[in-house]
Amino acid sequence: MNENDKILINAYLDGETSPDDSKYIESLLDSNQDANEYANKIKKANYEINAFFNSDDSKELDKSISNFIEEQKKKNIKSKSNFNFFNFRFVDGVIALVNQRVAAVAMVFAITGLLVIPSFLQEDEEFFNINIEREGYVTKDGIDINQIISDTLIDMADADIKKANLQIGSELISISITNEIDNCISGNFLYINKDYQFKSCLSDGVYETKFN
Amino acid sequence: MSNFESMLFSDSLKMSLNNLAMSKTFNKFDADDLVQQTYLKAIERQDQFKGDNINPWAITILKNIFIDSRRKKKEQLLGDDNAEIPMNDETSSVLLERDKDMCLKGLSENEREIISLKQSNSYDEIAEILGIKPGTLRQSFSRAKEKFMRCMGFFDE
Repeated sequence: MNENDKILINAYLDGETSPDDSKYIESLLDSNQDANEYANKIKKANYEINAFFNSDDSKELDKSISNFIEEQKKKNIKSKSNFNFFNFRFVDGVIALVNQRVAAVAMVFAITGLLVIPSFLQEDEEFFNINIEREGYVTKDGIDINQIISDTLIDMADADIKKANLQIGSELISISITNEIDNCISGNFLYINKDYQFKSCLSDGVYETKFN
Repeated sequence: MSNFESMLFSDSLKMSLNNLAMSKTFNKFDADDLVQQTYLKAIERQDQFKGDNINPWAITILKNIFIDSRRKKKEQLLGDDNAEIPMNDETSSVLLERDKDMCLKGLSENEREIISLKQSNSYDEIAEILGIKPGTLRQSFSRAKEKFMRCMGFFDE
């Protein structure tokens, strides 16, 4: 048995030899006592090394790192989304200074605190969940869908969000943006089991929405 | 989840980083810190990653963090063979554990890297990660194993 045989035996026991080399080693192990004993020692060493890397400490490390990874995934999703959303609101506030209609919305901001509080579903990568306070959107006929859609679209467009679930109290609106051309956004939204097509165009800093 | 995050948070990379960290620190708490720092640095520097195999890049980050922290702490993590082993109520199995740890510590950094990476990678993958030829890797791996076996007293029988 030479040095090359030792290397090959080692590789053979790791399942890393070619078919020809495997045949050669199998025949060597059958015929050569030293090679056979060497192989047994390698098996014993492999057992000890595997035991080190599969110890209780290693298993605890794996568990801890898995938890850490899950936390990082959540943090990354949140930090990306939150940044875009709140960054937009600052810009929106500036626009409000020159636009009366948005100024009215800004007043609602001041009174109610945050008008739109995004909370994102980690388990749903496509739809963002957005909680919207009913105050400011309630009319005698119910909630003002048109206004909600218009106000939300500007957020979505700025944060490059294509799909969102809007939670307004116990009511839910699912919006999907399918097309954006110049200052206009179109798509559809689902509200009380009915699908609506909408088109919103930016005019003087606010979206005006039409839907059927 | 982005493509970068999918690669970074893959099970295969996690296993490689964990094993490598254990083989360098011999301590689950230090290994935990080392792997977490590696992930954080990788996320921070994701713009610098180019290519489609993240493993060599992330493993290099871990090695650099380890070298840096060792230099800072001025700790002697290698050559612990002279450490006194308490002989009072220790069982033989505990002594064997210590022998195993000591014999792994007695290997060079490169040898331990190869042995730890072999736990979750093929020879070809390790060669790519470490930037060496597969033939060289086989030789180094065989030598490392023989060194370990000698330390463990397998040739004394």
